[in-house]
Amino acid sequence: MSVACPQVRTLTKKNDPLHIIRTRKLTHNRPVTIAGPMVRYSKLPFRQVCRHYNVDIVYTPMILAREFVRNSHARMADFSSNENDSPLIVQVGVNNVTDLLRFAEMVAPYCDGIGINCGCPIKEQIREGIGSALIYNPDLLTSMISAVKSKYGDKLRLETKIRIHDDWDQTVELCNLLCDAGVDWITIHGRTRTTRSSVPVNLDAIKYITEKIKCRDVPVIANGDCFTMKDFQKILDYTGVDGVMAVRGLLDNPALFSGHDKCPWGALELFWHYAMEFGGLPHQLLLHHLHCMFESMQLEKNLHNELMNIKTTTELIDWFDRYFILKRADEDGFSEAIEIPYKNKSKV
Amino acid sequence: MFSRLRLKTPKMITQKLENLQITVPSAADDAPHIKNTCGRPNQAVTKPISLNADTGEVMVRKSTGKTKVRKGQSSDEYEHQRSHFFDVEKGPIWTPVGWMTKENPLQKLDSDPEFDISLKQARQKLISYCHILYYRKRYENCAQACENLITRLETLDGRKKVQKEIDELKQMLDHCQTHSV
Repeated sequence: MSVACPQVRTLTKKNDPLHIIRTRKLTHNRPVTIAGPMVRYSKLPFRQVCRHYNVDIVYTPMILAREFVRNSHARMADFSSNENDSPLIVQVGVNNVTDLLRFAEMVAPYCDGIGINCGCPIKEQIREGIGSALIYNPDLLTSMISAVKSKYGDKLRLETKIRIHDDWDQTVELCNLLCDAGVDWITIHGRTRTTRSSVPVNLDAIKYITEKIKCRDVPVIANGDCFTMKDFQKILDYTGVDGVMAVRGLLDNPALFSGHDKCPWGALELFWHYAMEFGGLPHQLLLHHLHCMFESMQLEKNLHNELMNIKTTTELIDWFDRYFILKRADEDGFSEAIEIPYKNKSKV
Repeated sequence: MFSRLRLKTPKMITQKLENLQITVPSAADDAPHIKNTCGRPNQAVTKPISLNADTGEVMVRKSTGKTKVRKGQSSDEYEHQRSHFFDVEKGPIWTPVGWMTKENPLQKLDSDPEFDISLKQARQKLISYCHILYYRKRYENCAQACENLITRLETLDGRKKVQKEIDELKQMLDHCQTHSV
């Protein structure tokens, strides 16, 4: 028996990612800012924090289409959202057209676009033909894009986040094929499948590819090594891209696109607020987010060590209240502090 | 009876396919045409073979180099998942600010038979409810919720699996009592 599906979410000037990418310079006097997908970490509470600090478009972590369309537990674990979670791109890991079309049908009513992950370097995914394996399989990738765009046209935005090849002309060739297939925009991570993240991102490659496909009028977003607004500007000026996606930089400092060079305390208060309000964030994940933000804030080392040994969320709340002034949403000045508000600095 | 037969056939085919000496292509096969691979032949990069475009059944490569068939999903199975997602699950988990404290989920436990405490997601929601009360410093309410939940979890089949959760609730209860004094 066939069921009636909810409609694809209507795209307006407010939530259409492509419109935002194309118009941010005019409306905000700066190119688009994007919070990219992070395995485990781009969950709803973190996405909401980013939205407070000049992030225009936010991604979910990669969701495996195969699991999502087959298993309700996977769906519950992988995807939660709410009415403020927009513009939202759901990133998908997929290796065949059927799974992608089914996945798109299920998530399209709850997001503003789908991004195909063609950059994940994890071996287990590559063996499945998912992630960066797709940049070596243009036939499959373009057939997936064509299938989605033929079905949805401009009603659903579709992006691909790719890595570069050793031979940049191969990436140019791939990008041209993606444009032919109807992709709405392309995000380029300036590293190859095997480049470590400790190696600086290759801006020359991004610049080369961007210049070569300029005539296609498909926006290009650069990704890699954006940790401050200075990096943001440098990447834009050097490569000529249409916008920048930050990932690791935002994990440490969700306020980087607001011009904060280190994470403001207010961002941490907001994170606590959303993590508690939405619930369901495992303790280790909560701890990792706080650890990253505190690294950016350069928390005193002995306190940082103490933090990493906390085993439960209850202890974590007590620890925060013991050492810092952690404001709740109903308190004056909530989310406004910049520096760490130690309760008793002499004890630190 | 026939539907059983239909289900068995693909499995047989799947096994046969796995035993055949089919090589799933990898990006390394493109190497002769590609210059400058810096000595890395991309052997791990699988190009899956589509076995059934209607179900999404594909053949991929395992780490040992052997092939593995990823089973497809029939239209009927997909229809079932889709209707469950839209009609029963009502889409993804929807959590606006205030959703958790709008109604006491512990009361829902008694009134809603679908809300099954043996499911990890349900327990996670209930523990999150205790966390938010603790975070908001509503220690008396939190202590009540913890006590209630501990009693239920202690009588659950397979208690060992939830012992860690019981321990955390007991710790939270203990801290609530300390704060209330």
